[in-house]
Amino acid sequence: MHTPNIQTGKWRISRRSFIRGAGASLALPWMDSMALEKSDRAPVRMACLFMPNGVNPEAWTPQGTGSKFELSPILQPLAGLRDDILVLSNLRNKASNTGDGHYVKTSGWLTGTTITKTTGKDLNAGNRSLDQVAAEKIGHLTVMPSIELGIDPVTTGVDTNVNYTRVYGSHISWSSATNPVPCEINPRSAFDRLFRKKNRNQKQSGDDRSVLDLVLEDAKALRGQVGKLDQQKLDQYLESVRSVERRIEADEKSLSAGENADPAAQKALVALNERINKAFGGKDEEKQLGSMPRFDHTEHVRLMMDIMVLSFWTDSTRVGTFMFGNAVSGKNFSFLDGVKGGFHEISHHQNDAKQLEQYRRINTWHMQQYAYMLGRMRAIDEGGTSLLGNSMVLCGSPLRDGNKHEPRDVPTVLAGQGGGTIKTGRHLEFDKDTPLCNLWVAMLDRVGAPVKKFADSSGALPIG
Amino acid sequence: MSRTNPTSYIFLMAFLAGSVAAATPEALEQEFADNVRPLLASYCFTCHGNDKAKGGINIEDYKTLSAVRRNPKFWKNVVHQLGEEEMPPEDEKQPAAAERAKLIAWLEENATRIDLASIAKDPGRVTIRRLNRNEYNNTMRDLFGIKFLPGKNFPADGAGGAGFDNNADTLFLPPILMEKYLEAAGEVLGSVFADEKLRRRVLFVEPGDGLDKEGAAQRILTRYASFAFRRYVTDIEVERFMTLFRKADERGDPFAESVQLALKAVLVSPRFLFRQERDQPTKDPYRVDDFELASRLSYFLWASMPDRELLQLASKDQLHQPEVMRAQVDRMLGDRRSRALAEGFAGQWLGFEKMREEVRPDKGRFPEFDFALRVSMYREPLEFFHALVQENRSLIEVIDSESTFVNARLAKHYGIDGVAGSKMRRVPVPAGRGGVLGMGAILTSTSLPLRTSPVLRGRYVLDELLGTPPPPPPPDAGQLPADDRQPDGMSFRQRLELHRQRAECSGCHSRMDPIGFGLEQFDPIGRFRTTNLGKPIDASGELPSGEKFTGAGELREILLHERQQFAYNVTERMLGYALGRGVEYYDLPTVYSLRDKLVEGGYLTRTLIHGITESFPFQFRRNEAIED
Repeated sequence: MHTPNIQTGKWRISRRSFIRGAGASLALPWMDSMALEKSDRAPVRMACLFMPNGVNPEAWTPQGTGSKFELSPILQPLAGLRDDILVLSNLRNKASNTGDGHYVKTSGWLTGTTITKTTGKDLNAGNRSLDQVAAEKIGHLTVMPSIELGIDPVTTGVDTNVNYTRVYGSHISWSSATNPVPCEINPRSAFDRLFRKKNRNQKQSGDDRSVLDLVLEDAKALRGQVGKLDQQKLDQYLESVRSVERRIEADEKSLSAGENADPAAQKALVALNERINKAFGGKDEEKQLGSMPRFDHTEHVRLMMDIMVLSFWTDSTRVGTFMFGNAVSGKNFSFLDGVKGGFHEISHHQNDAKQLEQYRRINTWHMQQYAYMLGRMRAIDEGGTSLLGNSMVLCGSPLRDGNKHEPRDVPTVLAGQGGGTIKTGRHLEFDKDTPLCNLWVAMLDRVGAPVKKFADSSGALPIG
Repeated sequence: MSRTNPTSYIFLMAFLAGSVAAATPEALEQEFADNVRPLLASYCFTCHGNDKAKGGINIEDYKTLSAVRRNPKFWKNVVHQLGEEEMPPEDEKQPAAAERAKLIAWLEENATRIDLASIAKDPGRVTIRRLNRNEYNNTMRDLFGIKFLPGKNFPADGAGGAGFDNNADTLFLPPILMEKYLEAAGEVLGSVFADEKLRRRVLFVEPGDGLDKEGAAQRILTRYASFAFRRYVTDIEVERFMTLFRKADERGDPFAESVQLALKAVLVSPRFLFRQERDQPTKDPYRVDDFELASRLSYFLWASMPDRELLQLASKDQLHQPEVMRAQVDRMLGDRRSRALAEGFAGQWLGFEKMREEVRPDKGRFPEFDFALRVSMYREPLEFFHALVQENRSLIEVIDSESTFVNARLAKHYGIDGVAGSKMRRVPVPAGRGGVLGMGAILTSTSLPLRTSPVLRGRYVLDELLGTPPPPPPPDAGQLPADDRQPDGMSFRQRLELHRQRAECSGCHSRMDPIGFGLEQFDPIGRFRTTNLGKPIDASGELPSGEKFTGAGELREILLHERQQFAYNVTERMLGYALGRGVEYYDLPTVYSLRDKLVEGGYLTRTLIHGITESFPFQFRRNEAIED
C-alpha cells in the first residue's frame, strides 16, 4: 500500500494506491488523514523570479517596518497576500556594482559575483547560482533537479557598446561559473518535459540507456584527444548525458509525475494542458518564420508560472527560476492602461513624473503576476499547510532603479513560510548595504542545502 | 587618421599607418612603464581600474605596452576621448595641457597604430564547436532528406565573438538540450523509417545476396557514421555502434529497427553534435586536414554538413588544392543551400534576423503591420543579400543600390504599383530608398514600438555598417519618451537636441543623431512620410565634420565616402562568421589583406568569400598554447 515514492521515499504515499485502497469517493485533501511524523514533512520548495530593468524607486519601499507596514503603490497587488510576504530592504549585491548597467546584474544576481567582460572567449559568471547550488544538493530527490523558465529567447549578438556577449543578459541560472542554464520559454515544451508521460516502455528506456552509455564512452575517448577548452565543452556534454540518464531512471521508477499526483493536481494538469493548446491555437502561420507564436504576454507569463506551481505541487522539482524578461528587455507594455512604450526605455525615466508613473504601472503589472502565482500556491493544500506555506518564492530585480543601475537596496520580496521557518507579514529594513547573499544563505538553509558562505555573505539573513 | 582629420571624428578606426618608431621594443616598454602608465594611473585608474571599472573599462589592466597593442581599437578610442576632453570628466582631476598632449602623442605613435609586420603569424584556435540549432536542422535535412525542423524547440543559441550564433565559445550543452537531442534523434529516425523513399536511401543494402545481417549493417553504419561525423570512420569506430545493432538483433528486432538503434547513437554522439578538429604533433601552425576543411567550407557557406563531393575530394586529399577549392566554393555558392549564408551571416550582421521574433511594433498604432508584412520585410534583405552572392555583385549595394526585392504586400507598403503575388522579385528602388537603409526590415528593427529612434538608426550605421560603435551611454543617461506623441508641443527632434546639450552626451550623439535624422523620412514601420504629427519632417543633419545633408539620398552619398571603412567592417564580420570565433589582433594582417583585395577587386562579394576561404586562419589551426 505504501509505495515508496521516488521523490523522497518517504513524505508522500502514492496517491493512486491510497485511493484504490480507501475508495475513490473519498476526496481527501493531501494526506490529511495520516498523522505526519516529523521526518515526513512536505519538502520546502524554492523559486526565484527575476524582473529586468529595476523598479520605480519612489513607489517600491513600504512605509513602516516590522509587521506594521503599509504596502507601497507597486506592491498593492499583494494586498491579499500581505501576511504571506516579507519585503526586504537595504540588501546590496556588491559584486555586481561594476561592469555594465545590466549584464553583470543579471548573471550576477543569483551568483553574487562579478562576470568576466568578454564577447565569449572567457565567459565566466564567477560562481554557481543560488538555485543550482540547491539543485545540486536536493535535485536527486525529484524527477527534475530544477527547472528554468522564461519568456524571451536568449538575446543574440554581442553588445558592441560595452563588449559583452548578450548571453550574460539572458541567464540567471549557472550550473557552474562557465555554464549558463537556458530558460525553457515554450510552455508546450516545458509542460511536456515535466508532465507528459514519456511513452517509453522498458525496452525503450533500456535502449536509450544503452545509447547513452555508448556515447558517454565515446565522449570520454574524445576528451582524451583534445585541448583544455575543448574538454570544458565535452564536460558539459558528459554532465548532460548523465543528467538525461538520471531522468530516464526517475521516469522508470515513478512513471510520470502526473501519474503520481493528487487527483486535484491531475485535474489541474489537464486544465493547464488545454490552456496551453488554446494559447497555441491557430498560430500555424508563425511556422513560416520558425518563430514562437506571439502569445498574449500576460497569459504567457501565467502559463509558465502555472507550470512551475504544478511542478512543485506534484513534487516534480523543488527548485525553479523564472525570468520575466532578459536584461534590457524592451518589451512593449502599451497593452497596459496609461503606458506607451517599451520597458527599458521607460525605465530610464530621468525623474520625469510621467515616465515614473508609466514605470510604476509596469512594475505593478509584474507584482500582479507574482500575486497570481502566490494565490495559486496558497490555494493548494498539502495536509494543513498550503503549498505556499511550504515554499519560498522570491521575486526581485538586481538593480534598484533603471535610471541609475545601482545594485543597492535592490527590490526584493520573499513569499511563503518555507515550511514554517519564515515569519512573514513584515517589512524588514536591514542595515544599509547588507549583502543580498545573506538572503541566499538563509534560503539555502531552508531548502535543505545549507552553506557556510555564499559569495560575499556575512551570515544568514534573519528572516525567521 | 588623427584628431585633425574631421572624418576621423565620426568614424573612429585603426588605420594602417606603417611601422612604428625606431626605438627598440624594450625601450618602448620601459618608456611606457616610466612615463605613460603613471599618467594613466593619476587620471584614469580611479574610475577605470581594478577597484572600479566604470562602463566595464579597466585601464589598469593594461600593464605593458604589448598588452596595449593587442587592443588598438580600444586605445584609439582612449586617445579620442582624451583629445576631445571627454575624459577625464569635468568633475574629475584634469591633466595639465602638456600632460594631455604628451599622452595623446605617445599613445598615437606607439599604441594605436598597428604594425602588421610585428604580429606573429597565428591562425588562432576554435574551440570544439557544437552545431547550433540552425546547423543541426540543416545537417539533419541533408543527412536524411527530412522536411521538418527537428531542432525547432531547442533553446535559442546565444552569440559571441564576432556577434554570431555559431561562435564556438558561446555554444553550450545544458541538460535540457541533451534531452532534446535524444528526442530529436528518435523523431528524425522514426520519420525516416516510416517513409518508404527515405528508408530505402538509408537501407541501401539489405541482408541477402551473399551479405549477412552483420555485413549489411556494417556497410550502412560505415556510410552514415561517415556522413554524420563528416569524415571516414574507422572499422573500430563502426564496431562500437555495431554492438547496439547486435543487441537489438539478438533479441529478435527486425533488421531495420536494429539499424535504427545504432543510428540513434550516431546522432547523439559528440562526434556528430560537435565539430572537432584534431591536434597535430607540432607547436607550429598547421593546415587542417581535408575533411576538416570540408566542414569549414560547408558550415561557412551552407550552415550544413559537407556533401558527398566535398568528402570525396577530401578523401583524395585534393580539396585544399587552390584551384580545386576555388571551383568547389563556386559550386557551393551556386547550390541552393548557400541561402544559409544570407540567412545566417547577413541576417545577424544586418539585423533583419530580428524580424523573425524580436521586433514588435505597437499593434494599436500600426494595425497594418501584420504577419504577411513581417515576413515580406524579412525576405527583402534576405533575397537582396542572396542575390549579391549569386550574381557576384558589389557589396557596396548594401549601402546604395538601384534595385531591391519586393512582393505585392511590400510593394503596397512602399507605394510601388504593379507587383502581384507573394513571390519576391527585383524592382527598381522607389525614390528615397536603396541599400539596406531603405528597407522596411532595417528601418523597423531600429525603431521603438511607438516611434522612430534617430539614435538607434544612427548607431546602426556606425556600428553594423561601419564597425565603429560608439561607447555606451553613462548609466544615468536619460531616454526620450517612448512615444513621440507628447502633449507639450515640443517636437521629438527638439527634445533630442536638448538632450544632446549635456556635455557627456554630445560626443557620441553628435555622431549618431544626425545620421538618424537623415532617415526621419521613414516612419517606425519603414513607410515613406513627409510629415509627422502634422509637422513637416526635418531630415537634415550636420555631422561633426561639418558635412551637411538632407534626407536618406544625401546621407547615402556621404556614407559612400566611407566605403573603405565599410569594406573593413564587412571583412571583419564575415571572417568572424566563417571562423566561428571573434576576430583577434593576430588576425589583423588577414583582415587588412582581405579588405585590400576586396577594394581592389571592386567590392565584389565573391572576392571576399574566396579570399576568406583561402586565408591563413581559415585553412590553418594550432594546438592550444599554454596561456589559453
